[in-house]
Amino acid sequence: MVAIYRPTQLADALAVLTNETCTVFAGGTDLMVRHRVRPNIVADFSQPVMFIDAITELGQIQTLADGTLRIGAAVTLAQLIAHPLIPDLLKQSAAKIAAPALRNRATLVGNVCNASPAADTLPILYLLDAKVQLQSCQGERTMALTQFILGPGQTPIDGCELLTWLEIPPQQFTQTFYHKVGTRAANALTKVSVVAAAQVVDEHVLDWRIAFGAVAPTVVRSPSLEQLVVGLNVSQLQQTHFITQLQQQYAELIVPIDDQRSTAKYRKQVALNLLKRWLLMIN
Amino acid sequence: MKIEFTLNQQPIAVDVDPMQTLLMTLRQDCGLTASKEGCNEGECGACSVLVNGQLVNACLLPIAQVSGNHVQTLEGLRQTEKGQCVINALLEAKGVQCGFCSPGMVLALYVLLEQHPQPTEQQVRTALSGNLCRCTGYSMIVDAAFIAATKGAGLW
Ligand SMILES: Cc1cc2nc3c(=O)[nH]c(=O)nc-3n(C[C@H](O)[C@H](O)[C@H](O)COP(=O)(O)OP(=O)(O)OC[C@H]3O[C@@H](n4cnc5c(N)ncnc54)[C@H](O)[C@@H]3O)c2cc1C
Ligand code: FES
Ligand code: FES
Repeated sequence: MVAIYRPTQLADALAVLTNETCTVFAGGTDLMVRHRVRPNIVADFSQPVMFIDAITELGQIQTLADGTLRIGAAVTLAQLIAHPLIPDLLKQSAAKIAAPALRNRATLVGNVCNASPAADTLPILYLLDAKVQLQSCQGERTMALTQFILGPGQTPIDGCELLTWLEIPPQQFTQTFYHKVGTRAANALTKVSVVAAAQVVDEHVLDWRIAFGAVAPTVVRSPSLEQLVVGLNVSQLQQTHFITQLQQQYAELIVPIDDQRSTAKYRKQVALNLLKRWLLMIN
Repeated sequence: MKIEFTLNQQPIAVDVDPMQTLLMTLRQDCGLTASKEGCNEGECGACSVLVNGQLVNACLLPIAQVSGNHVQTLEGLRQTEKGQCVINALLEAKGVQCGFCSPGMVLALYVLLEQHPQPTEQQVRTALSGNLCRCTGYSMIVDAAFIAATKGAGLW
């Protein structure tokens, strides 16, 4: 039987993590499946478990003075979807994860820390320039999400650290787009997903972004390609040769794999088709 | 480890491995076998129970996280007027065949109607999206939601 900790105070959790290597456990929807043995056998956790679901401070969603939105590590997907401050695109992607009962336990931060190439909230968080705050007894550090996700299941988090808050800077879009391709509407992991946003004023593109999920080891987003679109007129970016050219440029970044859910060829084609759909939608 | 919680309104204490699931605890230590083990990985909803009024997959929930919380299972819900309303609606709609998914379906329909006393079909289908049924083809279970909403008018 492993030791368990279920503190209600963040400081208590960090104090334990300073001395002991623990498995950090939020909603456990990834962990329980990963550590499953077989029916009627208790899941096999080899090291002490630190439950963070009861830390009241981390169950909050707040807006800071500069408009930055902060989402605590104990906030569940269901709470996120129901909260008035959360951007609609983030709600849409969270609502596509699994089914209601799972969303009542699974957390947004757990989805991030799991760092799966198919994690449904990562593309939108990349698109929104999200940052993560890591805290330990020694102090705290904040980094861009793009620096936090190193590869499938890989993050730079240290054993004595917790990801305490996810931060989203304020931003405004006039148009957004989200499409998840899965085998069915619920309880289906993503084959490919595309999320995009733009700010268009008087047919002039002031901001244009797109991120692709499940088509590479990490989310694909390219600030340099986005800059090719920003500044254009809507009619320019909807010309056939422009679309084809942009599709070719993105094709170089989209390097999916074959797996049990889909094929590389299908994923790439769908991703590029959705890029086109998004370009043609802008007005 | 000793874990205390409320089970169908009664305080209870169990002495089990804290990583043991709520599902295993209910079935083996509490003798409540309405919640079923289908997939044991969050996919099928056969293990659905309510924790503090929220639908959860008991197969993914370590009992340590249940400490201090309120658990409600079909055994408790069927003692209530609302629970009876849902069960009768499911029977009337012929939404039960082998019955393996039914305890989970009753709980999912119950939370749906608590949130949306007059649900749309989309709301019904979303509410049931984590509960798999291998027998009925779902239409009868969707019908049951509307029967329970109509016959239980005033209850929800
Ligand atoms: C049936 C089923 C369907 C699913 N469908 C989808 C889907 O459609 N899309 C999708 O993206 N995912 C899906 N998932 C995966 C999973 O539910 C999500 O990734 C979920 O958001 C994980 O959150 P959690 O709180 O349960 O994480 P946990 O399992 O608690 O943790 C996940 C990982 O993150 C670490 N961790 C968690 N919180 C912290 C923290 N604060 N600091 C440091 N490390 C931390 C844990 O140690 C662990 O390694 C599904 C899972 C199941 C079982
Ligand atoms: S047994 Fe829990 S969801 Fe299938
Ligand atoms: S009635 Fe048999 S699984 Fe639903």
